[in-house]
Amino acid sequence: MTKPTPSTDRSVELTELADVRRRLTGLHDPAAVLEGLFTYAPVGLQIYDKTGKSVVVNRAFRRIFGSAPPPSYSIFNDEIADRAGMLDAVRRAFAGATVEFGPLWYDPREIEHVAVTDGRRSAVKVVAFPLNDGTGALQYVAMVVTDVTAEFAAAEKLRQTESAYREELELRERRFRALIDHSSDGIALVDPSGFVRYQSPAVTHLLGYSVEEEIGRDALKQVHPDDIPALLEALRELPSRPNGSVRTQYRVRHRNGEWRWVESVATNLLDEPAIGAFVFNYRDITDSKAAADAERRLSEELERRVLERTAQLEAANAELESFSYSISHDLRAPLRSIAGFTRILLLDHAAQLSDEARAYLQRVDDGTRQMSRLIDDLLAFSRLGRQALRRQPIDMTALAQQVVAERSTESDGQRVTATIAELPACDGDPALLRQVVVNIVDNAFKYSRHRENPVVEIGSRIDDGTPVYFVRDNGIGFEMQFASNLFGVFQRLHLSDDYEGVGVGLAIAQRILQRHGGRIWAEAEHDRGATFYWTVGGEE
Amino acid sequence: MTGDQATQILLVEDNPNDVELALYALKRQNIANHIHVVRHGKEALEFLFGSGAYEGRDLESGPRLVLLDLKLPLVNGLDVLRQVKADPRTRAIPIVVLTSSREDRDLQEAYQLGANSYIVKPVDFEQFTDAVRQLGMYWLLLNEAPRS
Repeated sequence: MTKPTPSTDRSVELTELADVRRRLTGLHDPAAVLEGLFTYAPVGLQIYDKTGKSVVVNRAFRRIFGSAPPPSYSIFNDEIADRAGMLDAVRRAFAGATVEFGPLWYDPREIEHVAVTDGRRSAVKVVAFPLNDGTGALQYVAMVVTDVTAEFAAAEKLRQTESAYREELELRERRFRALIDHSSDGIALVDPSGFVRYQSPAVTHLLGYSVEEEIGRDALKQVHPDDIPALLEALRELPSRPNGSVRTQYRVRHRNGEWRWVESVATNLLDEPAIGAFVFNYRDITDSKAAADAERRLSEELERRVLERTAQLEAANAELESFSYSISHDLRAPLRSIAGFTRILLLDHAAQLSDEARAYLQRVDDGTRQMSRLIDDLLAFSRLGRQALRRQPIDMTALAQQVVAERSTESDGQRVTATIAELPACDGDPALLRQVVVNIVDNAFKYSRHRENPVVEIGSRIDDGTPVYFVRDNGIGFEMQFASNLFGVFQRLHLSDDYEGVGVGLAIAQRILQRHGGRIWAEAEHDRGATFYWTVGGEE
Repeated sequence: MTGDQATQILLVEDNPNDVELALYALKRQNIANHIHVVRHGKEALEFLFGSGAYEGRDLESGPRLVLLDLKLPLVNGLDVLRQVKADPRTRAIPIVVLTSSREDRDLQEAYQLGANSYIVKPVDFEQFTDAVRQLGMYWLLLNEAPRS
């Protein structure tokens, strides 16, 4: 047996046909072969007469197109075939040629008013060939129609998918390129040997170079020589860390010769097939670095000034301290002599003195006592600033009661009617806050004692959640315009002849309360009594 | 100056006015008649240790009490205090610091060095004589000195 060889050679086909005729002898009806093959062939078969009218179609044809053409049908009037681009080829077949065409879409849906088929859309490959009579004149044209709808649809779908995919890729590529091209940050790809393989257009506005002159350049070429060691050190581990990245700052020479500070994030994408390089994302930080430097210098300067100022204050404080120290020694000593010898004169020699001399000596004696108190108060006041606060809860009611009780044993105090309300507790230094209450209560006693019925009231109220303590008297009061003088050292609103004291008590009270974070103020009217208010505060 | 009589009180004071007032107060209170006065810290040490100007002084003869000012020329009071309290021969002598300083740091240091009392000289003369009387009474009359 010879192996059948597929061939389109016409002579081979004729030989094969002759062979069929020769072999199929003795049949009752040789045409039955043709009829059977025609009927059952899986390809569509159609025969036109020479005017183009469909003479006969087989089953496969009806399956492909949904129905047989109506009697009125002529291929030359078939708009669908015309639209599908079939007619040229069909005409050539009617002119006597064997033509093959397709695949093409025979799509009746495009012309809905033509009831040619049931409307199925088919892709077909067609072979059309003439059938002649004995004289060689054309009688019929036969068409062999292969339905390739499934393959064709698949191929077309594939084509569409591919095209859509290509478009998507192009879109993405364009999008990323646009991002890179318009990014204000520069992006460079540097190959493992240190040469620039890609440079984004941002390099031009960042550093003045064109992309072309950058490509292939040694990546370190424009880096400031002083910054190269640190940069290399920072990048040292990067090659062994796939996808790792390092942030660095260094200077790069601009095309105009200036040094620009850049911050750069280098990422190892050597293993990324699409990249295969180190990616440097960099931006110009010259201005922000200059601003940060200026800010740092400013804050250093401020810090320096604060230190200086603190040192000055500490020096002043130390000076003040040694001043108070020498006051306590040096001023007291001569005063003690004056007081001592004056007393000796008055004690031992009074008999030899005139009344006038004794009166004068008495004044010297009073003067020394007053000066002694003055020095003590001044020292006490200066000590306040240095003493550490020891805060603890204080029962203010008990404290006020104690202070008033102490006053009541004095002759002046016995006359004063003092009332003490329940007072809220507070946190503070017990010794210092006691001094505050003593000074304020003393003040109230002192300035109300000339009244017929001196009354001192100690109470409290709450202002914005903060306890406000007060001491109210019905004494001589003062003019509010002088209220700000009340709390200064040695400030007095009344003649010292009338009221003893040197005028430090309220200043001390204010200093103590300020150190606690509280404050003190007063309200009064001349001859109508005064009220002193204070808060203790929470923090120093 | 180094009489045969036992010295009851050594007064270390550079200010002549304060010396006079102290002596007045002590006499007035009839506390002590035998008071030796030195004017600076160096002299105080020489007296107490029987050296220098006081070479050969019998240390057994007193004093029974030292009244010591802190602010002294040459050797200051705290140094005197330190040396007296560091020496076994003089350690037992009560030392009363008599000063015009109210500074905490002086008081703290004086007590740390072994001062037996610390009196701030009051400006008020009555208070001063009262203080002198009390400390004299206590240290000379009531306090039993340890036998050496």
